[in-house]
Amino acid sequence: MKFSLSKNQFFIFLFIVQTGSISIAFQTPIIEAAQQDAWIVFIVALIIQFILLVLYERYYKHFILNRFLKWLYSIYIMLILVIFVANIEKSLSVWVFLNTPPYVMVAIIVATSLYANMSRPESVVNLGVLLIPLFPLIFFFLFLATPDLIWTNLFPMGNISTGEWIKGLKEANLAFVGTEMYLIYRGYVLNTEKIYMKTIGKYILFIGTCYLITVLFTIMFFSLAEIAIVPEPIVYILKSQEVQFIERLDLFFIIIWMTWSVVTVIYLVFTVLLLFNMKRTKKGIRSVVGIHLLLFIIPLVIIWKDLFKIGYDILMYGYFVFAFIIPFFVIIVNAWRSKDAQKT
Amino acid sequence: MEAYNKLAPYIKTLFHDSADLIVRPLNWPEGEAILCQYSVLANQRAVNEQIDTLSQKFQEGHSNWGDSSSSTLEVFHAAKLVEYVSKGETVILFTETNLLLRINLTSNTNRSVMEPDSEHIIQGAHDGFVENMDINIALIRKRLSIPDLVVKKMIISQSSNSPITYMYIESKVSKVTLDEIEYRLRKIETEYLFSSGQLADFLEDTVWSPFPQLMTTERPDKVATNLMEGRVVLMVDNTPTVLLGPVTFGSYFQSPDDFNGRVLVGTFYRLLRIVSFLTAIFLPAFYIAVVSFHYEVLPYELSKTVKIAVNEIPYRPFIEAMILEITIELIREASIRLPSPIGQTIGIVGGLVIGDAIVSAGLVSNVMVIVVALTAISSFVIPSIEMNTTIRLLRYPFMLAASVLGFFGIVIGTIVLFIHLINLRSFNQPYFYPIVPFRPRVFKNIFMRLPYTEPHNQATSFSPKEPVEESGDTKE
Repeated sequence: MKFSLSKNQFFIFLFIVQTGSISIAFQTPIIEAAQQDAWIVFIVALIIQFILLVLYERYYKHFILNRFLKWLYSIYIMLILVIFVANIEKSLSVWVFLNTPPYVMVAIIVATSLYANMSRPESVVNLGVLLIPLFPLIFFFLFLATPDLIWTNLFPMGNISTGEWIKGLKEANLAFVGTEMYLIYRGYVLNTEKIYMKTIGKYILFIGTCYLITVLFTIMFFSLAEIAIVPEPIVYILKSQEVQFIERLDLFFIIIWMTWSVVTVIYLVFTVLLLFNMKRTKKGIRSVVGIHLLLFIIPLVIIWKDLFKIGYDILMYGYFVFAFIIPFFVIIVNAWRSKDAQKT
Repeated sequence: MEAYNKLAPYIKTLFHDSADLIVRPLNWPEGEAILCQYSVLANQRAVNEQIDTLSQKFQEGHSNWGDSSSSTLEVFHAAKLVEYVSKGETVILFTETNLLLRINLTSNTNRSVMEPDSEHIIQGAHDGFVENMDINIALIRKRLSIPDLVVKKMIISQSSNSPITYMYIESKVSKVTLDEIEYRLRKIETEYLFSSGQLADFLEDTVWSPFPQLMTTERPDKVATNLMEGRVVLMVDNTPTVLLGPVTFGSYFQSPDDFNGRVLVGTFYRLLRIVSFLTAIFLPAFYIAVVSFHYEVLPYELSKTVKIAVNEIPYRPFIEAMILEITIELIREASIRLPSPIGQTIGIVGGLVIGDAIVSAGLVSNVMVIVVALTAISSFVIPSIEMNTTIRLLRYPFMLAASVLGFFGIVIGTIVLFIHLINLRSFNQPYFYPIVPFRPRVFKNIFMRLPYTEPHNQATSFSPKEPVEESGDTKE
């Protein structure tokens, strides 16, 4: 696959993959784990992410995957994908399409991704631009809830145990699923466009602020007892808003989130294709269709067998393995090899 | 007369004994001369004057007596005779010397240069192209009196002898684009080519796309500004509509009026056009989705009114919308084909009488009439007639998607539309620039009419470019 990215395109891509995967569901687990201190835990997670990205930027040239690791990463991304598609279908069936069979919705999402991934790479990587005008809308809707927020819900602070800190951090880091894409796509950024620590800082500050607002709003809107029974708190906050022009704000939020999610699905499938450098040959097209066939069948099995919990756990541990552990070893081994090669 | 008696039947056979062909002997100071011309195409008075002048020059013994700005002396050849006469020129054959004198003085049956009906503006130039390529070129040259403006001619179809003219500014045009256009023009094989629409079919990158990839215009001022932005203009003879390429999606929302008025006013109307583009595509689909699936998004009072209106209608909202949309299209089509006074009457009868009757008959709800009327008005706001028709066509699949899947259908439709737009090319260049490749700094130009400083050029590649050319910015 032949394409290149500007710095802006690269960070827009990363932002969409990270926020599209889990953005409406990550608040509840963090708050359940770290209670009122969830936002402090989240800031710490943010710092960890910043350090991770700085390290990625420094050593990304050594992140060279062999065939086995490419397969491993592809399986992991496919896993994210199937869990994600199943989750989208679940949310749609709860909020919008109560009586529509799951296979219809999954088929439509998968068909859209198939159409996109049959296009040229430049088209796929630029799809995220569609979401830029929608982004301010989400926060506009969310800020309408400001009068209902109880800021005293943030207190008392600093009362959680070490165990709760660790659990909270684990959950908070899950909000950043997709960070590993940095390593996969960094090599496609134009050589002339330098990414400095300041650039990464700005990116982390932006994504962090967006996430932090949703965490803070959730803590301030619900009591701790309520949060446990609300799986998608942002949607509930919007549902409770009374505005003159529209009765159900949450529906619009769901629609925007759906667009976001479908684009993320397209991006993730594209990443799998990219890992194997699939071209638009007959064989390549067969593989693209095959991947989409899997993407159609497996989410239906997850929905049918209700495997969401297992999927979520795999995702959490998978993220640590694929964003922290494997890159660490791959970079160390390749750096050592290249040093050796230089000596000889 | 002897030569005439021999040659005349042969010449007439070459032109299949056409009734408007004149083949007659000509009075010439020395030797025999035969005049050939199509009487309907030649400017008789000017030709006679030219013949008198040339015969006088011949008598006076000038060495280049046949050469002037409108005549040339050549060696006779039957193929040349056919070519020149077919073009409307007058040819005089000198049988003894075997020479041919061509006089290019054709009759000008052109309408006057007036503002095109499909591209009215309030301020600015009010002239428009006519059905004569020379006049059209003159209208452009008048605006761009620079030697850099290059005019090239190419005969596309040998059987119909259709000339295509393309123009560009040497210092502005991209070499790659120009080569591509010339390559595509050379590749055309057709029996005849009479309109710019036919030419566009041969040149466009994706003929089956609903979106036009070459802009059509009848305005010389629009052509001049586009030339300055590095675009190429393609003209077909005998048609006032010219083609501009490569173009971007955003350029269809610009009007010369934007640049003739105030910056803020221009920006406001450009934004209005973009909003109307969205309304024209999404409003009926949105209404169908709300009525069919998502009643709960409407505020209580409004939802009550809509429910009462819809409850009386026997059809599904999609069928209801289709009835009205097709009616609007019928009215539009009828008013175009009829003479303008009757056309206006049809508009009034269709819009008011049928609109009112259709609601009274209970075929559609009054809310649907409001929605469809607003949609129709929105679609007419787009300055380009082709984009206008494209939008009208696009709303149907969106209506269908909304009636099947509600908001989700609209979302999926939007993503598919977006992917299609990103994939589109105009002469191999990105159609959806500055969204693809994404240029945040140029992005604002789609929505805002900024103070004029300099023309901006189009991106030549789908991928972002390194500042230094040929730096190998892509990775395999």
